[in-house]
Parts: sequence; C-alpha cells; structure tokens
Amino acid sequence: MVEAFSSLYEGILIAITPENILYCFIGCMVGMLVGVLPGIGPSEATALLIPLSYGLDSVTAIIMLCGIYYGGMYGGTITSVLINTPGEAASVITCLDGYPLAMQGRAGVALKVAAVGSFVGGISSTFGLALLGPAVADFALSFGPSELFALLVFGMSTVIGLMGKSLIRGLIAVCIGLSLALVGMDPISGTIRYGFGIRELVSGLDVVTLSMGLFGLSEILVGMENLSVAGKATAINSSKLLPEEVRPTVMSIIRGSFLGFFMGLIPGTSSAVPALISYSMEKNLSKHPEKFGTGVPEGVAGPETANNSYVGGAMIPLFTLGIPCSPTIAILMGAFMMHGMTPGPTLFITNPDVIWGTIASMFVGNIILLILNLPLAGMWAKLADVPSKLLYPVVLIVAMMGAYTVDNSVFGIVVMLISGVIGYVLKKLDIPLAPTILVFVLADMMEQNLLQSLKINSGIGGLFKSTTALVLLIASVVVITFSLIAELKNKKSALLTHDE
Amino acid sequence: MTNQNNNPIRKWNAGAIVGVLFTSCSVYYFVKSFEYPYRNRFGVGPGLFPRWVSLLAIVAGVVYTLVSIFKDKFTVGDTFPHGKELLNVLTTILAILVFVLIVKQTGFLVASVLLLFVLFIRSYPVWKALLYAIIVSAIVFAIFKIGFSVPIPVNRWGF
Amino acid sequence: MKRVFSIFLVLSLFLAPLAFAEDAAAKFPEREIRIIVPYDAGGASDMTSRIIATGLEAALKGTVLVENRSGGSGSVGMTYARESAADGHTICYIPVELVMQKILGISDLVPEDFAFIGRLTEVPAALTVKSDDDRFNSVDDFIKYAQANPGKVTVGNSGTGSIWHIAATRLEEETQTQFNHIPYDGAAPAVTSLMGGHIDAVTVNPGEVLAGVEAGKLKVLALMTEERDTVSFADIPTLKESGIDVVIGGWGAMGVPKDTPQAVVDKLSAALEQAASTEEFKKFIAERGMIVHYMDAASATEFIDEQAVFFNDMLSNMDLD
Repeated sequence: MVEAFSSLYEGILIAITPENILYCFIGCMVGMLVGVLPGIGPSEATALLIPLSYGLDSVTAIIMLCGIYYGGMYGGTITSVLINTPGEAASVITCLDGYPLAMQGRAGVALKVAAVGSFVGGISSTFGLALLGPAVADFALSFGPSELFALLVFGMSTVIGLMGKSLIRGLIAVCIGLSLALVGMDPISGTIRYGFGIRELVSGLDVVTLSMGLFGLSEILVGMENLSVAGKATAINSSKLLPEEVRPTVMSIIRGSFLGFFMGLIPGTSSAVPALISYSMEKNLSKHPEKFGTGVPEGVAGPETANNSYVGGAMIPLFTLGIPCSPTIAILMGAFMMHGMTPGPTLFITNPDVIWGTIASMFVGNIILLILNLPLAGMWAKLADVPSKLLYPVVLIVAMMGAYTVDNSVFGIVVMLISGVIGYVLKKLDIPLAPTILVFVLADMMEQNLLQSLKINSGIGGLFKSTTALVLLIASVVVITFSLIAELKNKKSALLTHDE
Repeated sequence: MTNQNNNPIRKWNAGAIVGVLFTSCSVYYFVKSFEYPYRNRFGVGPGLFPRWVSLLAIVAGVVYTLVSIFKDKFTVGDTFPHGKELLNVLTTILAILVFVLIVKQTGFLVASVLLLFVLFIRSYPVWKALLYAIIVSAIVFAIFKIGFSVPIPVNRWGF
Repeated sequence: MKRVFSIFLVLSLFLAPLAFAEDAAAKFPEREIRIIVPYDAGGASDMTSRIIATGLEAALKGTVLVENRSGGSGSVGMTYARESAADGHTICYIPVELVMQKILGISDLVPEDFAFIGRLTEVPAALTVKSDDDRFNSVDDFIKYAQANPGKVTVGNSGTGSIWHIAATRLEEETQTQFNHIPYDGAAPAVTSLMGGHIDAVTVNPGEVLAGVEAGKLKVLALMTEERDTVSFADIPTLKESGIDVVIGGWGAMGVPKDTPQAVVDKLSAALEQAASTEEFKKFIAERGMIVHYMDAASATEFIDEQAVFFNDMLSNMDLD
C-alpha cells in the first residue's frame, strides 16, 4: 500500500509536466468531441490517433490515448440529454431521465450531475486501480462463460424495470431486440443467420446505427410533425438540484462508483452493463421508483458514474494480466505495443514510469474534464434553446454521417432509416425503446457465453456448479419477481385512477 | 369531430396491425430457424437460440395483438398524425431516401445541401434555407472528411 | 475576350481534377488504408497487423488503420474484406484459416477471392495449461490424463475450424485421446478463460500466452514445431521430443480483393516487403513466439495454393468435433 502511494507520487510528477498536461488535455477534448458525434466512438478515435502518437514520448502518447477513452464517456452524455440520441450503448440509459430533465428546462442539472458523477467515478476507480490493482485481478478471472452468462441474465432481468407502463409492450420491445441481435454470423459456428443474402448483414447490425435510428431519428420524425411545438423545453433553465434531490443523487454516485469499478474488472462485459444495472439498482432502492423515467437526477448520476468508473476497473486486467476487457482497451493495448511495451505484469517492472504516469494522468484528466464540463454544462444546455427547426435537420445530417461512418457505406443510413421508422411507430404505440437496444447489446454476448458454458460442462450443470453464477441467477429471479409485482401494483392503481 | 374522421383508415386498430405484423415476422423467424441446425457436430448448434427467441416473440406478439383488440386500443387516427403533420414526416423520410439514392453520384455536399434545403424550406425563407443548408453541410463535411478522414462519398470534383 | 477567358477558367477548374483522376495507381494511396484483422485485438494476427501498419505507413506515406472484425473463425472479417472496394484501400490480414473455410463448410471463402501481396510470418502452436494445475507438469502427464479421461479435458481454441482447433485435433489423433473443444472469439478470450481456470488447456500461439506466463498464471508444456524456439521459449520442449509427431502452425499473409489493379498490388507488395524487413518488425515478431518468414506476392500465392491442397487432404481424413 505504502509502495503504491510512493509510486503514485512518482507518477504524479510525470503526469504534471506541462507537455503531459497538454496532451492529456488534447486527449480529453478529442474524447469529448467524439463522444458528442455519433458513429465515431472512443475506440475509433483512439485508433485514429495512434499514428499521431508515434512522434511522442511513450508516456505522453499513452496519456493522450487514455484521455480520449474517458473523455468520450463524458461527451456521450451530452447528446443523450439534449436530443435523446445516445452516441454509444453506454449512454442509452442516460436518455431515460436525462431527456425528460432537459424537457423540463433542467438540462443543466442533468449535465452537471453527470459531470460530477463521472468525475467521482473516474477518480475513485483510478484510486482502485492504483491501490488494489493486482489484488483484484484474480476476481476478474473468476468470471468464466457460466458466470458471465449469469451476469448477462441478471442485466437482462433488470431491463424489465425499464419496460414502462405495460409489461406486454415491454416484452415486445425485448423480443425485437433479441430478434435483431440474431441477424448475422453466429458467434460459435459462423453460420449466417437471417442475412437475407445481404452482405452487409453478415457481420450483424451495428448497435450505434440501430440506436441512432430507434432513438435519434424517431425523435426527429416526431419533432418534424410540427416544428413550432417540437422539443420545446420549458424555460425554467435552472441548473440547481432541489434540496430533496441532493441525498439520492450523492448516494447514487457513490454506489455507481463501486458498481462500475467491479464491472470493469470482468472481461467480456461492455460499459452498457454497469450503466444498466446501476439504473435499475437506483430505481429499486428509491423511495419513489415511479418517478424514474420522468426526469430524476439520480437516474442520470448513477449510470453516468458507473460507466466512467468502469474505465479504471477495465485498466486493471490490462495492466496486470495483459487482457483487453473492452474494444477500446484492446486498441489501447495495441498502442502500448506500438511503443514497444507489452501490457502485462512485467510492465510494472520494465516501465513503471509509463504505468504510474498513466494512472496519475487519469487524475489530472478527470480534473480537467470536470473543470471543462461544469461551465460547459450551462453552455450545452443553451443548445436546447436552439429552435428545433434549425436543430433537428442538423442533428439528422450528423446522425446520417455517423451511420455512414460505421461501415463506410450508405447501407448504414438505410438501416438507420428503417429502424427510425420502426422506432417512430413504436413510440406512437407507447412501446419503450430502451429495452430493445439494451437487449440487443446483451444478446450476442449471452448466446456465446451460454453455448460455451453448455459445452465446457457438457450440459446445463455449469450454471449451478459455480456459486457466483448461481447467486446471480437467483438474484435475477428475485429482481424479475419484484419488478413484476411492482409493475402490476402500479398498473392497478393507474387503472383505478385512469380508466372508468 | 372533423371530417377527417370519415377516412376509414383512421378507425383501424394500429396496435392490432403492428401486433399481427410482428407476429408474422416472428413466425417467419421461427420457420427459418429450422434451416439452422439445433445441434451440430460441434455441440449446440446455431439453431437453438433463434428457435426459442422466435417462440417467445410469437407468444408476445399474439398476446399483444389480443390486448390491442380488447383493451388498450390505439386507432390509427388517434395515434398517428394526419394532414400537414403527416406530410412533414413523410417528407423527411423521403428526403433521406433521396439522399441515399443520389449521394454516390452527386457526392456528399450536393446531396446534403438538397436534403437540408428540403427540411429548412418548411420553416425558413428560400435564401435563408439555402444558406443554412450550405453552411451546415460544409461544416459536417469538414469535420468528418477532413477531421476524421472518413471516406465520405464525393463526386469527381472532390466534394 | 474577358468573357472567353472566364469561361475557360471555369472550365479548367472543373476539368482539372478529371485529368488527375486518370492515373489511380500513381496517386495511390488517395486516402487512409485499412487493414482488416479477422480476429479480436490482442491476438497474434492483430499484433502482426498493427506493427506492419506502422511499417506500411512509412513506406506508403499515408495513414494505415487497423480494424478488428472478429467472428466465425475469421470468416466475418475476410468476407467483409472480400466484398470491399478493390482499390487497395482495404487490405486483409489473411490467416491460414482462409484455406480451410470452404472445406469445413464455414463460409464460401476461397484463396482465389484475394490477390496476395505477401506472406509475413509463421505462427507456431503451443500446448499451454494453468501454472498451478498439478495434473499437468509435462506433456506426458497431459496425454496420460486425457487418455484416462476421454472427453473430459477442455481445450480452448480461437474458433471452430481455426488452426488452433485443428492443432488440438491433430494432437488428439496422434495420441488417441478425445478432448472437449471450446471455441472462443479469438485466442485472447480463450487465454483469459484458461487463466481463470474455466478450461484446462489452450493450443494457441505461444506469443498469445506470453503475458500470462510472465504473470505466473500459465505454463507452456510443449511447442508444436520442428525445432525449439530461440528467443522467449528456448527451454520449452517440442512435441516431437516427446515422441508425438505433431508439427502444425499457422501463417500470416496480407491480401486485397481479387480485382484490385495490378499496379496497386505491386505498389502494396513493395511497401509490404519494406515493412517486413525492418529490424523493428523482426524483433517484435521473434519476441512474441512467431517467426518472420517473408514471401513476395508470387511465392505467397503459390504457397497458399499448396496449403489449400495440404489442409484439404488433412481435413478430409479428420474427424472434427
């Protein structure tokens, strides 16, 4: 522990040289920018900037590339809150309460709690990385196919809490997500399923294109109906939390920090999973679960904290075992190798300056991002005042380019258009869209892990042999039961007051 | 009650229509899942997941259709816009389609200016709509093409 | 006159780019080049592509990006590359699995789908287990245990029909054992799963388990090569030394869609040779348990055709499960 602190001190000395601060700043800014732009996510931006980093010192290069990664997590929030369009799967959840807040003229609140939450999540998981690093790496490895499958089932079961007013409509949303996820090559044997002979479908549908269609384009279509009333936020524009909102928001940030960190450790998850579980946890712990989805700050703070905290956790398997936990981390791993280092335990011995410099820079970067974001939150919130007749077409063309970028083909735009029209119809019928996209993200991983687990254990036994898996499966059943009871109760009371 | 309610389509049950469509898609999925082996020589086959997923979807679809017919009724008229509003939505969809069809020939800038012009013209005077369309397209072009070197389709003159 | 001049000016403005567009090969590369890697980041193919990308950038004076498209034993990425525009801006890392795709019925990919611009590496296989697994301290332990427990030993590979799957199957055949093969999306997740003790062994490239070996989590029991490694794994015996006649490994080549103009292929080929002959590349590859064995476009094409015949013979007698 003491050793960690002295190493961290050395690292801070490296991180606060003017050059490193400058590149950390550049990385964070680029990250935020790509977070705002759909289609180009942190992994694409990191890959794009790797060549630019060759001329730099290896520490400086890694610091900049890491900045893109966590900077992107900050940026993704903005579009979710302001235009109900998640830039990546991790921010789908943020739409649920962020956008209603913006509609009430409280976009500033949403962006600020997200910025503070991200900061706390980022800092605390960096501490976790520095202090717990190697010790918790083994925990990560205990997640094999069976445990991962159980975790994904747990994630899936929490989706029920997002289903909205009617269970059957939620179920339809889930089934659409599952069916869409089946398109493309199957993860185990490589059979092309539901490809309809279209070559672009071989590698499956892209989550960013889908979510831009289902969320973004459908929102734009609703708005285009009547531009003079569309998306008009009420003019309160306050960016302060109400006194009674402070406690739940703070608590959600604390819980999100832990949750995100531990999820980051587990190889094979994505940052959407901690965000989803955090939201559902906050809803279940809340005194007023029925208000979730109508604009409660803790519904934004928890998931945003969790997805930033995920970053620090995800670095641990990379630094200690050389395992890339997520696509962006994998590209980061490539960057290490390009600079002549192999991520893994020996890196702590051969290049301690790089490891500790990078870890320390994450503190610096998060501070930079907080300083940037608090004043910017107000500025971004003003964007909600841009008349929708101007804003919507602009968002549309940016989203279309984003969809194009995913595959570099107009096919992406066609997929976005179709999913946009479907999303529009579903929205009109009051079918929630968040479950569709989240299930879509989880389903692929679920199938692969289930099939692996079945094969390793020659049957379904593996799911019950492992304590972790069993606990997670039981927890899923509990969550489903409770959510169902809660939904049914709500529905009853809603029926009594609403219908005849 | 306006005269628009006379259009019989407006009385159709939108929920039931979507439910039936959804169920038929799921049935198609189910039938097609038999093309993929349930088990193969590698163990569990690629047919297992689709089989169960589509079954679940069929059940959900049927229940939803029934609920839509007997309980939560969404008629087309109440659910979807009509008149000018419907026209606005259709214009947007059509404009995107046109963009997709012409972008390879005309290049990004021309297609984008056209798309944005069609959308802006509905709320701005002609000159303003054109100006905004050109400015926005140019900025988007600069960010994606020059900033991130995305291979955006261009015409023979490079835009 | 003025008017004629201005018309001429406008016309020349419009026509100038046309004149330049004539000679595509001379202008190549016009934009960034992407190398499609059909496996996840972190594996041998990914590492090779990323280091070669830097070399190509220097040689071509343009941007070269690496894109991972994993799944279906490499068929997702290779199919994607095959269908990409044949203008040289999409290069594909071609693993040995290309020649097996059709035989195994995984996809309809055949070597003829690509024009090869060169071969880079040979990628040997190794049998690796968990370091604290007391059942397996040597190859003999492993084989004896597997013979006593048919179907019980779980062996991870990088996808059904991948070369590592074939390697494990070859070992099965040669030792009359039966493993339970577990496919993953690339070698890295398989190695991760092994570290966590969810499977018993992997038969992947030694470079892919290097970090795990250094972390004290994994131990390599044997290499499936003719001769011992000279760099990172010098003290590891070969299977041949234990009297098991299994020598198998993959290779890594680069290809472009088959209709790419010859001039562009030549240019890429020259650049690839330059990139593959840097000391940096040789050192990088050798340290990661692979062998640099460059072949130019012509010999690579010939070699890959031979491999197709070789694996066709081997696989038609093999019972993969």
